[in-house]
Amino acid sequence: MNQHLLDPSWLARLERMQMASRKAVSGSQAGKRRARQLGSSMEFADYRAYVPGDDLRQLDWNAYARSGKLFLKKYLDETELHVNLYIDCSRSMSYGQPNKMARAVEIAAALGYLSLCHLDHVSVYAFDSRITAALTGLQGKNQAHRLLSFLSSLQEGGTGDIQTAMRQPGAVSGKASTSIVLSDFLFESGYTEGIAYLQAARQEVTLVQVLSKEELAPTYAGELRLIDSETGQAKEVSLTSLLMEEYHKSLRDYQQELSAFAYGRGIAFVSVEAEQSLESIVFHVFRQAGLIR
Amino acid sequence: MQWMGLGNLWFALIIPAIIVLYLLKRKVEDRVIPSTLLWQRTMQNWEAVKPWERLRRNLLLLLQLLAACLLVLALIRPAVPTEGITSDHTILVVDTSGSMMAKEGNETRLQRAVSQAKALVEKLGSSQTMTLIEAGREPNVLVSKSADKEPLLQAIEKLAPFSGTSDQIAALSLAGAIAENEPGSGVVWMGDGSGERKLDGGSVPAFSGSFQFIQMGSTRENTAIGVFVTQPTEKGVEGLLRVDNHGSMPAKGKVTVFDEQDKLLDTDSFAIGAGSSQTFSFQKLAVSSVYRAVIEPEQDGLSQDNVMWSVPFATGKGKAALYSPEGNRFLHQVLQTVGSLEVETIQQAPDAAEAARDLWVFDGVVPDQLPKGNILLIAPNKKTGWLPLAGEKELDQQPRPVSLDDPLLKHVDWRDVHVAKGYVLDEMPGMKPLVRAGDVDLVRAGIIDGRRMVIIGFDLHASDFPLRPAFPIFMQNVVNWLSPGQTAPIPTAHPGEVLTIPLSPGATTRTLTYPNGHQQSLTENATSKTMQLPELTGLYRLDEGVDTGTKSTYFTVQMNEEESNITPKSVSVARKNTEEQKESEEATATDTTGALGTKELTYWLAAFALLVLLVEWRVYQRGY
Repeated sequence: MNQHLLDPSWLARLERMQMASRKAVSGSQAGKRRARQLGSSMEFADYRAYVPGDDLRQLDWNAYARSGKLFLKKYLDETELHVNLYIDCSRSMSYGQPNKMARAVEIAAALGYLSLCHLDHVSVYAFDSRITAALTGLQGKNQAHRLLSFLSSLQEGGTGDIQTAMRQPGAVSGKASTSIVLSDFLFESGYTEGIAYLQAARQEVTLVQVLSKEELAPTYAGELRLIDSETGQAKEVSLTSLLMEEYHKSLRDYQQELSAFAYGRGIAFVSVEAEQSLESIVFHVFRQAGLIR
Repeated sequence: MQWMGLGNLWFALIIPAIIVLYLLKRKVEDRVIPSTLLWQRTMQNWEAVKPWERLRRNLLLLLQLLAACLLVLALIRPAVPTEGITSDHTILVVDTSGSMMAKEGNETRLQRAVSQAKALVEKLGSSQTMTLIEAGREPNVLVSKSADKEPLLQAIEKLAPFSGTSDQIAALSLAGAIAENEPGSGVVWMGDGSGERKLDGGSVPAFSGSFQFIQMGSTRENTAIGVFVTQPTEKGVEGLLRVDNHGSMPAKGKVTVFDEQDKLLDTDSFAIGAGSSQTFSFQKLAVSSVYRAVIEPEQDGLSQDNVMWSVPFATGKGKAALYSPEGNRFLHQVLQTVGSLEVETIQQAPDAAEAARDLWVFDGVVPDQLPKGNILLIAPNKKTGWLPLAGEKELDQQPRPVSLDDPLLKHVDWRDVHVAKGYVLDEMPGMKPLVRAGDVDLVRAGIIDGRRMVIIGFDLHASDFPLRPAFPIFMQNVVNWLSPGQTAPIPTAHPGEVLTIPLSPGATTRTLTYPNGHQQSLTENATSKTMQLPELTGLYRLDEGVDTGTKSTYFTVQMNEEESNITPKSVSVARKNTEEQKESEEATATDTTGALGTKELTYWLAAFALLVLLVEWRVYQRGY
């Protein structure tokens, strides 16, 4: 099951990547991430003269032996990163070939595995109009199987509403972290407040919009009553090429709105197609967007 | 394009009905999609801009709408004007009134009408018939319901204008009556509609069948002499002339006055604004028994009204003879005063050889033989061959006028008149009683033996009549009636009218010369002749051989002034629709192109609609 989620052949390749984030924190457990501030890692940074009160454990006794002066040896601190993965499990995610949900789960698996390999803290939340399932506090590569089995167990469910889901207790970790939202962002009630709420909780937010080909380029024609999979709302349309043009325009407008919103708030935004291969999504789209390096 | 059944236009409601049904009955396929969010946004933009877009590119709907439109068009029965006649029986009415003589280009309006009528006849189908009516003074059916073209063409060829006014209403009524009796009839009216009495919908009974008015003529430019009168004064003859410009443009030209021998007497030029008149007065014209005025306008539609004759008021006095053996001061006095008479008192009864007088007055005597001339007989006290006197009678009743509207009794008040004694007369054929007292006729008037005669059946001395204001008035009326020819010229008449020509008493020969030189001798031994004038305008001359030589009297026959206004007007008739519509609708057609009749497109449209339905069925089968 776990093997199905991620192709073992490129796990190694995935391990070499890491999440790019500004929100790394120095915590009690050293992460694998090289921090900018000085800390207690093995990475040497500098020497400085001892002043009373310094930690004696950090004195360089070899230097003292050679020079008779007390020097403190400074190392770069090793920081850890909290990565929160939000997966939209609303019913609209169950469309596409493979469906959007599956693709979102795979992306989450790849990102989660990659983070675990770097000893980052990984939490996964599944939401529709509330948090339906969560797996928090994973760290270390040995936790990868937990992550993968959790992800495989996710089922798409009800009506998506990011606005209310993000306000649920326990939906957002208190720590500054990187949050990646995987969704189609087709929420009837909008998305702006939900994202803004997330951002307000010191999250560095990345939006990954997963859309199926069915949505990007619908192939249906004729007289149709289009029924919303989530709300059951019906819309009668007589599909003509002119109307199709109009649809494409609406789609473009919607994506532009989303991206403009993200840009305005300093949020990274990536749009992927469910039908795209996972490899190309991760290694090309995400790297190009600067999500991972 | 005409619409013969516009009342069926409400069938057009089928078109919105189809659209509504189509919207209601659309076959919609349900399809569950991830989210309708984007579609909602799309439709918001879309529906706001193009609500009809959903109907586009739908072949079936378009075909249905086309078929419906065609059916509705077929129901309102569009018709296009066609060249030939469509009705089975055509009643062709040709106006031949004076205004049809107006020139349009090189031909007159009537000539145009004749050529168009001939063209119509040539186009008659084998089963079509035609009745030809000339709308003259009285409508005249020239050819009745003939399918044979030859007599029709001959009759049309013979159509000639007359100077008078045609009776449009009578012609239209006749045509309508014929159309009513012959199903499938249509009336075609060729005329200019001008000058004639205005036709309104109510004056002509509505008739079934089509009515087509073919306008002849387009110009309204015409200048005419409206009035030309002459009158002798002490300084010579004065003439008054009015020139009317009926057109829409100013008219210029020359006006000339000639005498009887065509000698030019005076000339002037005129410049008259559109639709107005100018009056000329000519002083000191040389004495002539008749004058002729001619205008020469630069632009003129009708030339027949450019000449007018005028006979000056008579200057001579009539001759009257008074024979009153007893003497009558009242009578003598009153005859001097009233009328323009030269009164001669004679002392003995005239014999047969006595010269003629215009008026004989016998007071208290009755001649055995009637002299030549009109007679006023007062107090006839003797019975003769022509006068059935029954006796005398004392009167105790007031005189009472019998026929109030008689010109002899005009303004005469009999209320204060008292008569003591009257003469009782038996029935006299030709004489009618005017005033009676009890059962005695006090005044009788009439014609006996070709003479006008008034009998006053009482002695003026046995009455206070001469003392009343009624007396001179009555005598004036009597003298005027008994000598009309001598006090005023014969009035100007219109062609075709009935005119009473006063004749000189005692004339031996009488010859009436027509304007075209034709002469007619009148054999009547009477003081007047009533005749119907021919359709000939101009100067008529009556030559009478009297004892003093030949006496010539002139009178003129002029075209009706209304005919000078040649402005084309359309003729409209109330039309009764025989079929579904009972209400009469106004049908007017003014077409100068000669297009006649209509061809309905109903069957073509219906056939085309059927074809569209077939195509639609095929399209439905193929499932486009």
